[in-house]
Amino acid sequence: MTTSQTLAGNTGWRLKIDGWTLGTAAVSTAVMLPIVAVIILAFTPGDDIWGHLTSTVLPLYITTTVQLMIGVGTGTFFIGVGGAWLVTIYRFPGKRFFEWALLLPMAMPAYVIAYVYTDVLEYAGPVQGALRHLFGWTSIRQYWFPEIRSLGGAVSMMTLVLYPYVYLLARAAFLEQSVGVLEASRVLGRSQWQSFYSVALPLARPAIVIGLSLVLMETLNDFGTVDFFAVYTFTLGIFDVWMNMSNIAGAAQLASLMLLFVIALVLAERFARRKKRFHQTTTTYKNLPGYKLGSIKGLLATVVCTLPVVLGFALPSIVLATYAVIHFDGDVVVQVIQTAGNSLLLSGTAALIAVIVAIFMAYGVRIKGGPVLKVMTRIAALGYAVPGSVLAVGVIAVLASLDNSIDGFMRQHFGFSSGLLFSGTVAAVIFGYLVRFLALSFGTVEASLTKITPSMDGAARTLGHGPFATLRRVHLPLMKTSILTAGMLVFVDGMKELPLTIILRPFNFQTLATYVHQFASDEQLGEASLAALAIVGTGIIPVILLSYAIRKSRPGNEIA
Amino acid sequence: MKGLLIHGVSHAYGDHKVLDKVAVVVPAGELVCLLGPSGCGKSTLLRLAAGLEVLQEGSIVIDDVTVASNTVHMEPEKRRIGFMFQDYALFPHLSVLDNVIFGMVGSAPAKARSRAMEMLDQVDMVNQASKYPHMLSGGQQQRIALARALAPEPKLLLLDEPFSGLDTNMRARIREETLGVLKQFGVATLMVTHDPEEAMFMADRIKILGSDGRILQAARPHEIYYHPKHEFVAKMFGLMNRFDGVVSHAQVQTPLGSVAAPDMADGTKVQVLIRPEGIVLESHEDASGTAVELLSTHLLGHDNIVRVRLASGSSSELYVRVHHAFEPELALGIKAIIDPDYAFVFPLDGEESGSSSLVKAAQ
Amino acid sequence: MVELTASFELESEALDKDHQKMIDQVNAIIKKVDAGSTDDCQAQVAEFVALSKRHFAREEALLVSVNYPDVEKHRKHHLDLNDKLDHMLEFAKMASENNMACESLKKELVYFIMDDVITADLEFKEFLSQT
Repeated sequence: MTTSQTLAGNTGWRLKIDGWTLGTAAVSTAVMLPIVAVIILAFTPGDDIWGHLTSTVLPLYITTTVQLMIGVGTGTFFIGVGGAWLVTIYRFPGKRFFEWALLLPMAMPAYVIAYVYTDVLEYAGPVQGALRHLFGWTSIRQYWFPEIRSLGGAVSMMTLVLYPYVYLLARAAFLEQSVGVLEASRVLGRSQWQSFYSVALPLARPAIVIGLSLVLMETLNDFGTVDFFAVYTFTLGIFDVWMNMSNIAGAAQLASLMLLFVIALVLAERFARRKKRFHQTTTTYKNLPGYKLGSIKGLLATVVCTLPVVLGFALPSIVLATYAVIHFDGDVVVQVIQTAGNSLLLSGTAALIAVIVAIFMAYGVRIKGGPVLKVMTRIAALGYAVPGSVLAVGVIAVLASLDNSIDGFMRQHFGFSSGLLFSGTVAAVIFGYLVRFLALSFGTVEASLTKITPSMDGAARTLGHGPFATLRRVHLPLMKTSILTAGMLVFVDGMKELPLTIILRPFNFQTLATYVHQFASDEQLGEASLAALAIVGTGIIPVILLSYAIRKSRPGNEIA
Repeated sequence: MKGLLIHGVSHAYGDHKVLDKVAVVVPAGELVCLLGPSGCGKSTLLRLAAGLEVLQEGSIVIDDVTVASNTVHMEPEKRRIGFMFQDYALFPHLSVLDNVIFGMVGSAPAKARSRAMEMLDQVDMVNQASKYPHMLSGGQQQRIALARALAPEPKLLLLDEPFSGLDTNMRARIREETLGVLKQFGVATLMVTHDPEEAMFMADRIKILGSDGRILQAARPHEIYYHPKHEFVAKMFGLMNRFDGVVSHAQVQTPLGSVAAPDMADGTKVQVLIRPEGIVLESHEDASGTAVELLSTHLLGHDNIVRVRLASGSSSELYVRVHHAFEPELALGIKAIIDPDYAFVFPLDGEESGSSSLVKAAQ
Repeated sequence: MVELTASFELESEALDKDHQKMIDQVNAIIKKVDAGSTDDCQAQVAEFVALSKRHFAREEALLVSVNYPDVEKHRKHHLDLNDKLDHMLEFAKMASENNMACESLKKELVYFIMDDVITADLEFKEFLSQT
């Protein structure tokens, strides 16, 4: 039916057809521009630092990034899949609680727990202090203690807060599997463990791959942690080359190289999503059996599930809350309120625009259909895969050339200089957020729109309602919640966002994230704790939404 | 004329033609079934009649008003038709009552409400009025969808596979109830289905749509079953036994006797299709017919399906429907003959010929 | 009651006249049956059957004379309709005794004239208008 002319595409909406395509084309071009700009910039001859880069820091960047990705990938795989399997298949003390509690670390940005754990575990921190006190050591040479500000530390921090992506998707996949296939496997003589390994895991593989690729995209995106730990990944390299060497072409060259990693991840994710469709083995579902674990094993399962929740969420939250109380100070409160206002302004505006654009594009696809529009919306949703640092380079380049051409035009025709209209403004940050988070709002809105079947449109129309009455009386009420959710997701991610904001923000403009970054990297976690708590607080909102969705989740509901 | 008139309608998706010069007439108060295999243009025809799809060729007239032609496209909301979708398409955010009220655009709220309650009463759902669609069973949703479609007093009702979502037990009952409601309202109804039994039960007239988008036959259910004009139509209703042969003196010889083939030239290669009830088994001593050997028996309830083989050694098997009282285990010396009412002769158009074989249902 | 509204017209004078005549007869039979006088029903239906067959012959001749390409297909269609006409006669025979026969006869008449004859003839309306 998609290739044919359907109801809306031909009748009431006829005049708007070109508007949809044009609008969607404009949005996807806007999103593509920063990425294209990075590539163009990277290949523009000029002060070519390729040679310099390859002979000096590039090997370091590559090996560090790869090591980080392998480490985080492995860690999140084991915690995410293990946790999902335990809470989905077994019954043990606290299972119901862990089903959603395992998501909590999602609320915690990696850089926040990095600051917290550094504070707790460094030489002057309470843990080492207590150990010294306990064993009577007086100097660092008398004992060994793992260095938190290291590659291993970065892996641990990111693993602790990113595993929920894998958990979420793996759990959804396990839930989707018919208990029938597992029972069949048991009846065919496989043990529980063998059934997991040879049936459940392969069936869930596409979902797990999607989760892992999301994790790795976030890993590439991270700036706060690697900066604080001085772990030289690509992202840190881009900042270094740009900020410290003021070499934008060099930054772009690194960024475009980094895009190769991104492309690999996007392809892996796309491929897995396509495969996922064929992994639906049956259409009839039964509740999973919930094998009861014995008391020892049950206790063990409880401990295994408790660890990531405590380490990734509870402990850092408690530390932050304690600091916030100890360091309570009226001036800090005023400052935090001010920066929170800035954060609200940026994230709120970005969320609003992202939702409007998403609704526009989702309707474009529904009404006009066709492969061209579909591809364009896919492109428009690509921003989520591109690390903030890379996007920032691109956004700067695009806005600078836009400013220059407007300025040139003004000078030529009106005889005055308009200067920098967009560069270094709030608008630049919002544009960056939009490019990076559009996928979130678009995915949510599109998913809810597909739940309004074409026959519902048909029913409304044959029951005497025109296209706009149908929109008002059927579509809007049905999509209300999803539109709110879409806005909320963009909003929360905007609140947490660090690398884009640091690069694109106006001079001396602080958001909660940059505020925390600034103070915490100066080892003033006390001052930063209140703002960090605020970020974590907002981050909990989508966790609640997600755990609610999981409760209601049925096969076919895609979460990501 | 009151009712629906569709004629000369052709429709294609790209190169794929799903309707080819289709004509349908549904007088007021009548129920016409469009019966065809999945994937033929049945549902497209309904969508065209409703205005949910734009007509490519032909014309559609409802109560003497042309609603679609190559110059006219009346919007669906202006056509005053009721459409019941295969998935019912109830609005999940509205209560049962509000779903039914939804279509009564322009009438005063109080009036719409009482009319809706009246409709719910008709389908015996008054006590569910304040519930939401997801709280109802499939059968209840079906009734709400019917009430919703009928509430605005449409000039024409279109039903798209209205019972396919129901389980077998429920289906027979809901089908009967629906038919009762429809006859009471006297609205012209065009229904689409792929289930021949359903079509025979519901329809005043059945139109068979072939997979090439052409109407193959239009007639009363009885005529469709006993006088199929087309091989495809004959095969729609389940298992068929088949013999191939050649026409000679307006007759075709089969191992079970000869079958009349009027209007066919001598020498025409033909296939003879015989329904399982078209082979009669007899076991008394002076029975005429061809000796057969019994292979197995399968009880269907009132009837038995018996698998037999010609005693003459031919390897092919036949399926025979017999009365449940006939117990093949107790029978001796069984002979089979053809009941000509259930045997149909169609020319073999260059198709490969297998001498005698079973033909599965064409759907 | 059945009427020959504009949408059913072939715009061929001879054929439309035939159709109108057939419709008039159908309406007359239905009217009689509805009024409960089924005595000469059989004769009337026989007359209708004869009229229909004459119409078929006239129509086929006309189609041949204008070189209508699908004339064979249409002739086959007419041939198929003979069964229906035969059956109508049987219903008519029973009409005075069996109420269901009356109902079926009425239905068959309406569908026959509207769905089997006229809409099928509409297929060559365009062709006729061009010649």
